[in-house]
Amino acid sequence: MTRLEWPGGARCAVVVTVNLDAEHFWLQLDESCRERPKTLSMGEYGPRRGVPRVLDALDEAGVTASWLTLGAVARRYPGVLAEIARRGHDIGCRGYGAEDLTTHDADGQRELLTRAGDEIEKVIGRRPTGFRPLSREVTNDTAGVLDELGYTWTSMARGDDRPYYLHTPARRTDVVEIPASWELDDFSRFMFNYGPPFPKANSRIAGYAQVLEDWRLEFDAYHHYGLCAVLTVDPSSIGKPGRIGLLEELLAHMREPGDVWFATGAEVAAWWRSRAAANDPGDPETSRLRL
Amino acid sequence: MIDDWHTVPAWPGGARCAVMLSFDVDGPTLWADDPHNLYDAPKRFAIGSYGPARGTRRILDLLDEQRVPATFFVPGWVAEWWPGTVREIAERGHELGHHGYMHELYYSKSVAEQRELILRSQDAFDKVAGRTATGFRTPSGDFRADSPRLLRELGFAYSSSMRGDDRPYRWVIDGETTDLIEIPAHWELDDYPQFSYNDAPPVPSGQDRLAGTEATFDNWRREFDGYHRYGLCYVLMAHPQVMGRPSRVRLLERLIEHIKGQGDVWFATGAEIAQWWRSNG
Repeated sequence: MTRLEWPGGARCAVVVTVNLDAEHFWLQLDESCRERPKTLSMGEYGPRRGVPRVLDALDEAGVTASWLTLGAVARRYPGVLAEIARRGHDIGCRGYGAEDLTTHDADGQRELLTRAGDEIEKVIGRRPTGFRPLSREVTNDTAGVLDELGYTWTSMARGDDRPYYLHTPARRTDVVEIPASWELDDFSRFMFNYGPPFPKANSRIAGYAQVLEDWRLEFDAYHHYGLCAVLTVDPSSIGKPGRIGLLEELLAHMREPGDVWFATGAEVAAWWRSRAAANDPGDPETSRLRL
Repeated sequence: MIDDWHTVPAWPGGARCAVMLSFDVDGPTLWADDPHNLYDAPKRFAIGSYGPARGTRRILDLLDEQRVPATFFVPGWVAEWWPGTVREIAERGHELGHHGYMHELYYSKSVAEQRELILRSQDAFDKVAGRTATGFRTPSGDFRADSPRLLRELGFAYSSSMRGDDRPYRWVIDGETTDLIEIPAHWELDDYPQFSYNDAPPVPSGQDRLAGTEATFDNWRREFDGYHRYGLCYVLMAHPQVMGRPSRVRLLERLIEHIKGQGDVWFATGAEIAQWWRSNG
């Protein structure tokens, strides 16, 4: 396989993404959480205590991250969002609130994402250009809606280890998907609740040292093959006193080789548009749409 | 919220952080909401009874050896069933806190029902140990948004039920900042998600394998180091039926020694932390 090229001769790319959902992860999991103060408080921990620790860890490592949040979070926590922007990070969109995008047609999705973009713009003075839905699934309309609304990148699927273009049923868009992976994700390892249950089967909280080891091994392999690694963390999970050190140690490990391109989603997408004309044969988009 | 981002709590005697060791002595109540389901279920009754009948004393002995205080949240029914254990907790200098009568889910109870459960449990504590609880930990998940108002009305000093902070705070009730203190806890500092296991009924619901003992100790140690680094209030939440097993009491011993080894740590009961926070927080 030919190696991918990255700016300045870098060996691989790393995008650090931070999902800031606050209470909405729980509201999306189960509507009854509106009446469950203890469960909601797990989400509130993110903006209250997790965000400053994540910001400090990113500063210390000199990494500009791509934060992704909801219109409803921008409304409720404008000061937190403004501070994230002030510290130089990019802020993308995860939808408006706890909606399921698969129950909305193109007009409905356009309306929700426009409202979400309005709320984020009110706080940070610019519209989001990156998108990763809190909604579990999207539809074949979503790519077209994002393209129309001026989005340039997404990170919503897990079907590759490098970027590719999103397609509508009719055409290739300029929206670049930068796939994430469950392997490089903190929430799925650490988050827990009994009622409503998360994980569904109330599986154990993973060992921190084991997770850090997994993340290191995963990054080392992305580096070896020259791919685009997307780390996904949530301040309500990685921002705990005993976990923030994992992020600090991982970022330090990623900096060690000295030939890693740390970039935002928007930067990776721009680079990709300047290099790639089309997706590789058999990519998730054209195969799904049978183009 | 942002003004509060970098404030570091003050602790007595210039301590760097606070540690609250807490034990939920749920006994068999975890295994059925209705006690009548338990008397005819010997295996279910037994797995729960290990806590008040065996595990609690092993933990009490360790706390004596280590000379650290702890807070025991005990359902009223457990106090009636194992009065000797509960009396001993009190006599050996530890705090008794409220934890439901039968570990009920307060989220599913009306305020009137919650009140009844609390009063009934306070009676049980009074009869068995000659004292009532000033601390509350919601059993079995969420309580209701109006539960804190009831706690305040019934004279509780604090709750240790929420998840949204890593230091105490005052409850705001009907727009008023009150003297009712919250001492939040966290699932990652709870032994139950890691080590509870049973065949029937299946626990956890998906019967995940038991977590590694050493790996869990490492998680708790890393969390403590983080709480110490930031000067916070570390709340370990353990269940004698789980934590009281032989290898885990040894684990707890190592954890306490690790905590002591970091220095400048204030070991306190929930009531002591709440009192400190009311005056200094």
